[in-house]
Amino acid sequence: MIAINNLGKAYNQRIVLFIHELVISKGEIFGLVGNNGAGKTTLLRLLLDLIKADKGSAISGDFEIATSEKWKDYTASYLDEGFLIDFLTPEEYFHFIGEEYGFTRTQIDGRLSEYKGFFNDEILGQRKKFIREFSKGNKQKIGIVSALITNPKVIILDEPFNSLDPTSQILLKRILVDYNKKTNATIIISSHDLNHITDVSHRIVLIEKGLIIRDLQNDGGALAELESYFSA
Amino acid sequence: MNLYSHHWKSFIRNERWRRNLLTKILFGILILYFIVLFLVLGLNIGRILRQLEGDPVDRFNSFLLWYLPVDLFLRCLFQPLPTVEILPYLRLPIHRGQIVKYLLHRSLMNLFNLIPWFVIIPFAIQILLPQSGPGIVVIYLTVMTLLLLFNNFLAVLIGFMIQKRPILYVIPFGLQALIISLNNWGFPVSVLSVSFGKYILDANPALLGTLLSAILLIIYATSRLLSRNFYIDEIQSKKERKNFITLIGENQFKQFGEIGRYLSLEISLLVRNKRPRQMMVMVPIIIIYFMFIISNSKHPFGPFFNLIVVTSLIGYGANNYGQFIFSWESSYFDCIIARKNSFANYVKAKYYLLSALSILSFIPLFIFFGYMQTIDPYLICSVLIFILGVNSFIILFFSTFNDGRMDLSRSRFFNYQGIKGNQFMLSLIFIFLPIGIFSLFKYYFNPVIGEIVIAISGLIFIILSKWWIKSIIVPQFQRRKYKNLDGYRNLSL
Repeated sequence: MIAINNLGKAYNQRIVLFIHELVISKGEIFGLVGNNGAGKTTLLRLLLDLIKADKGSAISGDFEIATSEKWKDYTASYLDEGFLIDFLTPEEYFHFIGEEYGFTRTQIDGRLSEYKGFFNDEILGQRKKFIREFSKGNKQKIGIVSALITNPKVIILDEPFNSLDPTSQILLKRILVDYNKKTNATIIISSHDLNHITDVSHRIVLIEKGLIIRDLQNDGGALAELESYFSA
Repeated sequence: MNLYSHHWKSFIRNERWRRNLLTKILFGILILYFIVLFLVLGLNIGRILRQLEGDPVDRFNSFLLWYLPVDLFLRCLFQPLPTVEILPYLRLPIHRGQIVKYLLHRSLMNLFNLIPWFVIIPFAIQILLPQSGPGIVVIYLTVMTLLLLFNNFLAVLIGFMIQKRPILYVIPFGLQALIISLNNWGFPVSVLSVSFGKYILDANPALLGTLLSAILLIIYATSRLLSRNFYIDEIQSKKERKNFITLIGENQFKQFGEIGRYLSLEISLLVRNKRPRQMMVMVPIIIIYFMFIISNSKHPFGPFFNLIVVTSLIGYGANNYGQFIFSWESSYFDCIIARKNSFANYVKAKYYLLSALSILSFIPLFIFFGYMQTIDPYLICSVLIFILGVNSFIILFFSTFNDGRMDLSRSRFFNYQGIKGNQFMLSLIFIFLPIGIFSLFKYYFNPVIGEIVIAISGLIFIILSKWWIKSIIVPQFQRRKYKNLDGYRNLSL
């Protein structure tokens, strides 16, 4: 689904990311781990064409990400609070995003009702509360759900478990796994929580100082290997 | 103290300042221009005053009560408010009084406190010293210092109040209007000013006492106002007053499809955030102010003045809002770029918004000048058409170069990102382009040709708007996309 070829990014002559070759197949839940500054967010931003690659390319489906915009039709993402239009109410925001992808409001409301449990009655139906007035955790939920409601084939989430309470973290894992099973979508997530990422991912890639260090199929031994790497 | 060095660091380490050499140069030129202007006036002040009738000291004093209100007025609009990113300091053992004191000290460093001395000191040396002796000079200079301090602190107080309630912009405009009315209603300000000067020269203790206590009172009020805003919930202002105006935008434009959706997003942005709202409140205030001035003046202003007023007022809202039309959305621009949308329609919505702002300003002005008959109504219409077409294009084009982050909601009370200088200069271009073209054709042919030329050039741009949005603005933005996105994430404007 996504193929990366010699993709490199440098800031002030310091290489922050260089990926020789990486293929993420369709239907894969792809986990990205690495310490602060390893290049996780840089990679995700490159995959969304939010920063310019200094060399190489990334291809989504049949489209080159930096030159075509067609991949946007089936890709949804939430990286950080910079994706929220914080002076809208949550419903206005969901409707706005949904309508961009050609859904009607009724369809969006239908999709939202699937996430009632995740929202825990705190987000929907608040017609006078703007997103900027919500807590960090609830903003995170709004952002993640805004990526899920448009039926994307590719989902890109940067540290989605951050700021969520334990119940919501567990719910989110279930939501991601179910969505992947139901639609065979490709899901790319990064996280600092090794347990969560091994719980959901089919495959985990570890990057350090911009380079891929490990590429693990998640079949039992991955968690132990990651833990031993990070404890060193 | 650390606060002072931090301010200096934040100034020289400002990304924007480092990057943008042009801004630096333009700013330097502007400052230099005012200094030279006042210096030349100062060096010749003796000669000028002696040429006028009457006692030169009285002549000089007769300008005082004119200058001081204008000074206050300009300070309220242009004097940068002293700011400090307050949050990081609150948890440290720094006394609140220290921060207030720092802010007040900081406010003294501005051109308004420097420039008048280029005239006052030569006056004191050339005229006052030979005529009245050194004792009087010392008194006179002391009182001048106090008067400027009074204006300085009053402007700071009003400035902070405006930050809280933008509607208080009425204060400086109202004061200005009051002075003009007084003059018209038989209290000639120059005469009052001369007797005011006499009190100064006599070192009238009542005057000095009043002035001193007024300054202390203002400083006290400012500290009260500031220290009351030292709480995090005040800074972040969780509780927002909401009324029907801030909640519009949800459904109104739904039926207009994609463009309507973007337009309603634009309108929500405009009415739900303090900074754009603050900018918009100025539009009606300025329009009413100029209507007041023009309808109250004894001697009718020339047609050229009327033309400048009409042009700048019709374009005022669009110019000011439009220069940051992309930056307003900087806090969530990643979301716009990463998702599916039609960027051309997105820009088109912005174009409609700017047009609506201009038309809304045009309607009251057209009625007013139609009644006053100081300017040809056809000319007003041509100017509107020119602004809708050509100016909108220029604004949208140049706004793609604005790559700074505009914080709509964070720590509003202390967050006044200094953008006034640049904005001012670009506005001059927007105003004088239509006037220049009109005057050129008026000079070589006649006013009707001038009107027709600006109307037609505006009309061409309006008709071609679909084309230039698609083939000039959008590609231009795409070219600067990564740079702008990076700026929106990192550079504060």
